[in-house]
Amino acid sequence: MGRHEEDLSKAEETLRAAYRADTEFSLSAQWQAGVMRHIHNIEASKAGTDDTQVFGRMVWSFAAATGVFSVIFVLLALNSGVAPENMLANILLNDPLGFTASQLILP
Amino acid sequence: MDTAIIYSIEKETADITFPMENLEGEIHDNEVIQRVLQGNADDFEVILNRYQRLVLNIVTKHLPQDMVEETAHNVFIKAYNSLPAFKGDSPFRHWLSKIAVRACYDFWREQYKSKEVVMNSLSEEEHCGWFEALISSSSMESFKHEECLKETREVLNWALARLSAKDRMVVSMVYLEGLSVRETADLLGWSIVNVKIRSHRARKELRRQLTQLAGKGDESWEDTKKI
Repeated sequence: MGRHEEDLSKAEETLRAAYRADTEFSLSAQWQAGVMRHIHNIEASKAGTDDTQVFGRMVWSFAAATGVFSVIFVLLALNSGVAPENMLANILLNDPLGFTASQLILP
Repeated sequence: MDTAIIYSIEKETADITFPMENLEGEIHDNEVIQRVLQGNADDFEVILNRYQRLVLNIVTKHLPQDMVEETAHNVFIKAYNSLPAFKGDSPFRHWLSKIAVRACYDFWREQYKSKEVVMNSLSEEEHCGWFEALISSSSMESFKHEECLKETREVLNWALARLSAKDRMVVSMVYLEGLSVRETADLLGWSIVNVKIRSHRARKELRRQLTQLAGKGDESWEDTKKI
């Protein structure tokens, strides 16, 4: 048992020494150029998406304002007693020949 | 950071100008990073020149040679993409070391997941031969020669391939490389307790593999295997 423990320790020590021993490895000449090329590609793709990103940001910032405005408009319309269906009926009744309606419907 | 791995890298590269601090005539890392973040992508080449040795040293310790270039490439790309997240509260080399170590771990995790862990060219019988030769030799000096070193590495890879990806990383860093549990936990982003438990378990498993290897060539090891 004792001898086996010693042998195991010896094997472990040898494995550790092999792991720590320097390994010769050098990068190919193209490696660095390859990394830089990749980075330039990333930059180029970022620049390509810039316009769409700006447009997207603009749309979303307006979306919040538009939503708030719509809510306010609906509340105002409800409080002022304006009913769009009544207005429409009024137009049709006062326009038996349909001149105004046709102007509204046709472009 | 005074880990064995980084220490050995600093020793190796003592002749190359590596700025730990703002040395005369050199641009500090943080300044280079600021320039890159301001849109001067070409300045990243300064980082690349300074730290490719560091990354290479970490990656070659953990991965097969044919994966070194690709992984080192990915490490720098990841570092470039993550530069905005670099706060500068720890040295850049430490931050980059973390990325490199975690890239190695990710590599092994993927390999084990797809069950593509590369075994080596030597058979188990040849590994038994290595073990017998080792215990019968009076000194370990002969095992430091290039030919024996290659065979020893093969045996090591054979044993490591039988561990899980996590165990492999921990046993390599704590036990083979000689990093402290705290340093390993920091580099891998795991808890200290996790690394401590795992390193103990992984070392035990490594010993079990070696015992099995020895037992194939010598029946007197059977009792040891049961323990």
